[in-house]
Amino acid sequence: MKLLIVEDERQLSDSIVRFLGSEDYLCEQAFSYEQAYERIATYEYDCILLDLMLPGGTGLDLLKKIREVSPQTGVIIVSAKDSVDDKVAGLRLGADDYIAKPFHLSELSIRVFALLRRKCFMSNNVIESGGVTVDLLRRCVEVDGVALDLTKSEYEVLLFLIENRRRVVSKSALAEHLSGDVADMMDDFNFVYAHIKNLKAKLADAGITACIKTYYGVGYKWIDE
Amino acid sequence: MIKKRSLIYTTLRYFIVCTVIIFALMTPMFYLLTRFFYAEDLIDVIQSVESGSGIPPLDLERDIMAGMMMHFMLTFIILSMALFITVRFITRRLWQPFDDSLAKAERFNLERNDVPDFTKTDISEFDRLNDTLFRLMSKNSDAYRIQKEFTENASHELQTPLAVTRSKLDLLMQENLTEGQMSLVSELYQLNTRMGHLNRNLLLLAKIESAQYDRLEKIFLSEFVGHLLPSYKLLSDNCEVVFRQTNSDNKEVLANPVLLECILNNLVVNALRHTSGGLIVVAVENGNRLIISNPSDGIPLNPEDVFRRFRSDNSGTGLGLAIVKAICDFHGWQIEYSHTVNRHMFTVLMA
Repeated sequence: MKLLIVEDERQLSDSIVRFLGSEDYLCEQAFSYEQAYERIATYEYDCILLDLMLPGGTGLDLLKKIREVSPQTGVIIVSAKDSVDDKVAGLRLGADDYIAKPFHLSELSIRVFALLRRKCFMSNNVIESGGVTVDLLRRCVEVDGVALDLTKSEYEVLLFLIENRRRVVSKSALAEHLSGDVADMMDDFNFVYAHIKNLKAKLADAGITACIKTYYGVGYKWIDE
Repeated sequence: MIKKRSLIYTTLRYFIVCTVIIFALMTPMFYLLTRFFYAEDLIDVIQSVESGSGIPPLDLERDIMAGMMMHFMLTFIILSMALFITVRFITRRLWQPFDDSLAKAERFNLERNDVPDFTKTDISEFDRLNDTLFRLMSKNSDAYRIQKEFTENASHELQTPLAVTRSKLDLLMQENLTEGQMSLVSELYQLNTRMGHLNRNLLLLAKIESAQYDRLEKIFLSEFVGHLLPSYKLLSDNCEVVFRQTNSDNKEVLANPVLLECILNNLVVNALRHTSGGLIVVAVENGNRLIISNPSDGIPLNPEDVFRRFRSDNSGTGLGLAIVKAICDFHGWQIEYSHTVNRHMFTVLMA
């Protein structure tokens, strides 16, 4: 999978490369409008992360260009401008997703993952990890052929953890994933703890005990081996 | 260029003109008075002398005194009338530019940035007043705009370093850290999250105040609240959020949906944050009154401070209720805090 990261803030770009690079992604970077334009015109990418405010031009113009040369490329807009208008303009021009800065790398990672799965018809709509099978189309979870009865939030938490497997996922990333902007106003994320606790109990009932590791105060990690 | 005169000068001029006109109009009165009162004895004397019957008996002293008094009276009446007319009618016209400026200054709204055009006047004091008012208003307006822009720009600029810091922390968390290091990372993460919230809220506040959310829609309030409720239930692990509606005739409110959701989020989350167990009630009455209440420990909040920035407790960002107030002001809605039977209650009247 080939990714292009168009972001003028070098440090942020490097962080994204390092985080996503640990997957099977090949990441390339562009730091300005010209660089990005050249790369888009020359190479083909599966997914492009696009900042809207770039030195030398706006990301929306790049988006038009991308849609001209390779309509099948997935585009996620990454921008500090979290105004509704930008979001609407971006999605209207054919962006596939939108994420506002500051974001969690784990959230970005699952957005990229979901987009690639949609775009590239990775016909595999079943994820298997650590004995747990998640059917993404039917939105259900099985352990050894036995279905787990999870609430919507527990399902979301589990999927988030599995898609970020072997990485520590912060509590606030989970909180934001579950409740969006509302989580932004809470000052503790105890409700995440409650969902994790229930999820752990249900997994333990199904015989899976050591998959979710808690890093006290920070977050959680899915361990699949 | 109109010649500028001072207020005193102009008033005096009008007064004199007025007096002269009245005197002129009163000339027949003076004539009659003199003719039949003053000169009457003199005429008698002349007539008797002409007819040869000698000078009739006269009390000159009394006649002079009476005549003088009458003249005094008449002059006094004329001057009073002139003064009355000047004050009553002329002054009103004279001060009209002042009233006009005053009305314009009263209507001036800093947020709408509409510095009025003052009407030109030939009274020098009013002209100076208008100039000064205009200068003050323009300056105020500029300062306000610059402050708003500054908040907005500063928030924009802060977002990138915040995003970088968060990404670095995300990476740092993946390393093999000891428990002590992990707890340091956790603290930094929390601080980063808090800065992020603060920044977003400041940006939001700036945007509301510069009316960047001007798209209004007709919304069924109870329907809108009903849609959002499940996400609040998700957040509440130790208290219950219930929804009540009364008299819900299908009345619509005119609102910006993004901002309306923001009001609800802020009020409900605020209630959740200050409730350690119990019932949080979200109610819609008559289709346009939103009431959110939560249990209190019996001590009411200070209603003066509730909606001011950074005045609430220091657990949240201190901006939540200020944002709610700003949104209400933007829509022209009333918001009230009250405390009854051990419950805090926020009421928004969307009239």
